[in-house]
Amino acid sequence: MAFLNKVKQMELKIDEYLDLVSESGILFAQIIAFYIAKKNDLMCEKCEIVRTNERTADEHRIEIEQHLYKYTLIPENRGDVLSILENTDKVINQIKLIVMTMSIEKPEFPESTIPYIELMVQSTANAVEELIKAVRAFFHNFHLINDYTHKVFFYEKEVDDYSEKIRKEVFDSKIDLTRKLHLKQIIHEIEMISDYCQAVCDKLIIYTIKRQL
Amino acid sequence: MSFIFLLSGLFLGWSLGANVAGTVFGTAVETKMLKFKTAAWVASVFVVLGAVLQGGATSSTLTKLGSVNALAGSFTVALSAALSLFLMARIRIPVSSTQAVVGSIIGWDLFTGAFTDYSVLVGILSSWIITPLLAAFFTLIIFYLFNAFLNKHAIHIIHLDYYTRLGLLFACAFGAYSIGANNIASVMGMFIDASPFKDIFITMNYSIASSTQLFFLGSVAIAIGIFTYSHKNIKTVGNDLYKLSPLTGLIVVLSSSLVLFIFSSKALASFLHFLHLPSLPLVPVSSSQAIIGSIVGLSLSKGVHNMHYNVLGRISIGWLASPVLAGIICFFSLFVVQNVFDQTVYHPSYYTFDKHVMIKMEDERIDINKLSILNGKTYQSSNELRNELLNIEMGPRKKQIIAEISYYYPMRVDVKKIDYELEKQYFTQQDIEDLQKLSDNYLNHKWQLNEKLEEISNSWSFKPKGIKNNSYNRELQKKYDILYTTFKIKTLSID
Repeated sequence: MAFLNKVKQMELKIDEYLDLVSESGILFAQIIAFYIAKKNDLMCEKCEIVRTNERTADEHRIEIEQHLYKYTLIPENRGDVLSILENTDKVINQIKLIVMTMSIEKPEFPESTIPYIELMVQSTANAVEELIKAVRAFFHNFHLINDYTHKVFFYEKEVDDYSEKIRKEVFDSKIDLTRKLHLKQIIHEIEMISDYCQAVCDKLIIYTIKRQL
Repeated sequence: MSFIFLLSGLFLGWSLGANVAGTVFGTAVETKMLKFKTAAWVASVFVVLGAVLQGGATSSTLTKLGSVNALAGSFTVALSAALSLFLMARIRIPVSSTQAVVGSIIGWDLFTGAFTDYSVLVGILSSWIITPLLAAFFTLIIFYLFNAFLNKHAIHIIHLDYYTRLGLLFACAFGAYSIGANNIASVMGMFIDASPFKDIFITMNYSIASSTQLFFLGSVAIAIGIFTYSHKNIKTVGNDLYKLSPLTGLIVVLSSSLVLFIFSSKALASFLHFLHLPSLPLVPVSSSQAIIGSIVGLSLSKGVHNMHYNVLGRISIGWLASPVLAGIICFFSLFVVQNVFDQTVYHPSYYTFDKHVMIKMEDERIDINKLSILNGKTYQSSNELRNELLNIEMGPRKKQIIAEISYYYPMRVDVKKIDYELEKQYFTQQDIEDLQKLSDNYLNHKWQLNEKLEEISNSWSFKPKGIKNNSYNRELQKKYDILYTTFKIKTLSID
């Protein structure tokens, strides 16, 4: 019975961890929207939530890892699960890094890039959302994983396309080269979120084959 | 001295325990789903339970194959089986103790000229073919059931892990129980007819038979084998052949245990008989054969990937080689034990054909006209009788009945023995009174005692076969077995 309780706690912990990543993805889109709309107060408020989420997610991840080893849970899939959680953690870390960078460095985007940035951010948030669905499916019903991973791949490609367009607009504009390089760096960091999502999905597909009976 | 002879059987039990652990909980421990100690405790307890509660069924089949009736003979049979297992293990061929024991018993039959019941032998040999096939079939069914269930119900990976652990624990218990029930015959079956134990009567209706005491001792030896040596040998037979996950390991252990269980369940056999369905013979089968069959079934259900055919081929060779090797070792060991160590490896069996036997055979609807050449003769071994029967056109079942009826087993219904030796707790007052009516009667065959008692009272008659009568008939047979042993005249003399 005590073991069953630990199992339930662990399941809850994993769900909470994924909730935090998912929530941070939604907040990311909101923060960028507030930044573009120059609503700094709201942006700072949301940034603080993301920072807390990232810290809590780290604590959850470490606790999950320790529990998995301490109680030798899912010995056959433990390595796979830890790899998924650690790689998903890179997503929330990257989200935090970008929102903090934006709030500190305050990059100025040329007007012509704003529509593309909004689209890129939305696609990134969608990729994070679909990734979390795929990870949940891995835990609950791995047969559904492909339904989500292909969407992640789709959004990642969209992000790449928008990133390309934004960089083109930036480098075609008449702003300073230092500013261009700064914006290029920011765009690259945003692109990294969906790249991490894609990396997790690649692993999920392999692990799903391993999990089949 | 008699307990020293049991050592070879205990050694065989110990080696069975050391090897069988891999079959029952190898995957669970290897994949860290169960701790070794937990698995070993569960397996040990259930091996003992299986052997004590259900071990009798397969043992009687083994006794029919060759009634090893001298302790030194039993010792040599068990030792030869253990030696052949050891030799095969040295050349890294996994073999079955059951097959080695059957080979050894046939070696004893050949050496002593004892009557090998070919119908039993065919039953055992066919079980060696049916076992892997049935295990593969069960695996396919369980695999598809599991797959369908898991596809339908979204179970969290952590919960699935929990249920798999519970399943593996259950499979460990079930597998150990089935092995105890089925394979104890391989360990102790050859000692039944030469058991140094006596029945212990606890209450009026409850006694611990000598065979049960033997099975308990054998199963404890298996349990010690599990605890002391199995951790060195934990890799399953199957892991060489196919990499198993905890869930597929669970399917394999469940299906192979199911096969072992149905080959040792009297209740199931009676139930199938009741339904007029063909039942499987109650024979000791090989757990490693069942596991191999299950793994082949699993690989078939998954579309045959990564199957190591060279390992499969090597295992199949072992199945053929081990009984032959055990038989040869047993034959020569018996010669050495008898002639070098001057030990009695068998007590001669006599078959007499007097007028009573001929009448009894006529009653059993055997055409005695064909047996006229046997009339009045006595044969000094079953081999001699079999050679004589070779010239007579008759089915093997009828020849078996002839051997059973003519088997010479001198008894004297002794009043003193009825009063002092017979355990009163097991027999009712009416039974004692019936027996006293036969006081000082000399009988030459077991069936004569049955007939005499049946004439006195209906309570000595067996009831028609069927589920509801099985328990009654078993108890009655137990009573008769006690009487045969009690009234037996120790020195053989032919009237």
